[in-house]
Amino acid sequence: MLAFILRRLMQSTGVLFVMSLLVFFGVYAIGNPVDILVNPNADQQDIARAIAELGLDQPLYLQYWHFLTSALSGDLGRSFSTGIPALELIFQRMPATLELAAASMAIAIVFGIPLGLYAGLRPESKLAKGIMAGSILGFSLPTFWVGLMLIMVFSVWLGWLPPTGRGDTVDLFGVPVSFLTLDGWTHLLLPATNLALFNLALLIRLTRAGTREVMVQDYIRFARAKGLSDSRIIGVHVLKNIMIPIVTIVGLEFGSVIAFAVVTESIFAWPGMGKLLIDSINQLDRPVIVAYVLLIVLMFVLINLVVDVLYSLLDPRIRLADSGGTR
Amino acid sequence: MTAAAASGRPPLLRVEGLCTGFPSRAGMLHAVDGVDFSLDRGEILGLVGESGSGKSVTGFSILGLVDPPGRILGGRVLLDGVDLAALDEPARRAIRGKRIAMIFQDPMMTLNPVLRIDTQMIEAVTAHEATGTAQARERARAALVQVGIAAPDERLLAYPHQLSGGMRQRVAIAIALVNRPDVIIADEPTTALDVTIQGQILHEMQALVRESGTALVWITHDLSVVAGLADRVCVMYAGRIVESGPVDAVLDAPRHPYTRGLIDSVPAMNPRGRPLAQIPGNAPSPVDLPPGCTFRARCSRAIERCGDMPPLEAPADEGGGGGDGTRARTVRCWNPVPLPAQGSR
Repeated sequence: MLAFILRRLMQSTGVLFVMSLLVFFGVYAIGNPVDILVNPNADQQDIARAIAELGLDQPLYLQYWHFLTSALSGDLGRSFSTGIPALELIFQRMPATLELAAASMAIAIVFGIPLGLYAGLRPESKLAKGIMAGSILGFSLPTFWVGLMLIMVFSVWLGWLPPTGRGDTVDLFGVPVSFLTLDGWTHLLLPATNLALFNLALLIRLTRAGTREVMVQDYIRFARAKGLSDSRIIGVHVLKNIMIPIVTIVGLEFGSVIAFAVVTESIFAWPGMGKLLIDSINQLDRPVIVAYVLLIVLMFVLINLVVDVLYSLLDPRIRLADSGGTR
Repeated sequence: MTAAAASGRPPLLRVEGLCTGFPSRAGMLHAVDGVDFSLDRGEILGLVGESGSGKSVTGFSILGLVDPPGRILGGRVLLDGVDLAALDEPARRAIRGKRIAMIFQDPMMTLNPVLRIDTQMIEAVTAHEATGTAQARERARAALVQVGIAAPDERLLAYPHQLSGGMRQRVAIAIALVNRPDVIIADEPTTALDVTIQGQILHEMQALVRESGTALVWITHDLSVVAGLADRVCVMYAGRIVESGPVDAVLDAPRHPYTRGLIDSVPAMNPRGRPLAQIPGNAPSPVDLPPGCTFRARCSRAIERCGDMPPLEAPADEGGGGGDGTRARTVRCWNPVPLPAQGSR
């Protein structure tokens, strides 16, 4: 197991290196940040000084070399526009995004798995058909439109929930969080729901398909023949068998939700990393973009690793390669 | 067993006029159509038939485990005189696995692949009794020893995929035995196994049943298994019992042409070199069963009267009548195979 984890982490450094290369040169190719950053009234001397200050007068390979050497010591550079270290900027925004992502995954899991189970156990019922029809909407309606509709209905017409911002936050271990205050909850609910809809639909369909597949297996009939209660059969025998695809999707989607909450964060003016990324791209703020992408890659690598480890816990037939086990 | 019948005590398990059907587009499919039999403690009943004859559905119907939309259409399943079909689901669940246990055909599929053996055995105990886990575990261990599993402590911690097919079927049998049920319904439990393992398991099951007084319904398509194992046999065809009686009597002197055909189809009973006898045609589709005797179209002894459904009764030349109709030698045929001449066997 340990060997497996170490191997995976080593592979991931290769991925990180390639990604940094791609993004670094990619952003360079888009345009010159100095054109955006410098005051339009600045003279040639000011511009030259700004270029020198940002290190943009050096050849590109040298710029990358400087980036790489300082990155190895944990310094991913300073934002061109604010001068604040890129990592610090991202970490300031990260709690908001993590909170939003966690809340949306929680909504998707808490509603998706029971609804999917119901639809799988009673596939002919009207409610099950309604759930499945609803899940198609969850897949197909675009996030930005649903977000706008949520604001329209719950904030503008009904006036129940605030449309934007994070609301009151409380420090939990030095990290500001919204979910411990009532005001924070009301702010969190709409964007989290909006972000959850796609995954909710996905989990419903996945759980339903898995349930239908497992329910006709002989071991379920055998469990019945043992006289087990329905709750034991569904809660243990069925659920444990359908958990593997669910864990995969939850893991991968959690990563996606963090990385691509951009649209939802923009609509609800949620002060998270996604909004930071959009602003940075607009300003061609290369250090922030590179740092953001690298962090996201690292996160995906870690999530995949956790998912793989969870597999081996859920399904005894799966053994992690190179685990050095005896059987 | 005759003693029990004579004393007037109801048999342990009695199935009366059991009908189970599956609704389909073409109407109700009668998978089981009026099956009667009874069973006493310590008795082994062989339920023999081809695929689709309704023998497995009979087993599932007794436990109330027919897959929806299939359902029991009529008849009674009496366990010690109590009609199981009339019980509500919680009451039936309390009987399943506790008083009537079942063993399935394919040991590769009957154990849940993601749960350890101990989990699956202990839950079978705790589903019916408020026993502590440690005590249930001890019972599970004892059951594994009973079915001849070496190193039971190690096996308890194993997952199903770490065990061989024969071992898994033994675990399934141990699960069936763990609550000391009154009746075990075994649905072709040795079909998927090697012949050597099959022999061992048959032998062990027979010993276990004798020793504990458990009644056993052994569902199979294999007459040779029934010959060595069962006390009595019921032959099923197209959802009905066509012949029943003590195993030796039925196998030595089959009266129904279908039973005769089944016996002749067993290669071991065929003289060497002679082409193997076979029953012409196929089993009828349950969607449109022909009127009258369902075997008529494939029967060499069919007569005009076979257009009416014959009753299941004692053949006239074996004394007729007698018994309570579910235990005696009975055959469902207007023109039964004649008894072999004296001394020919």
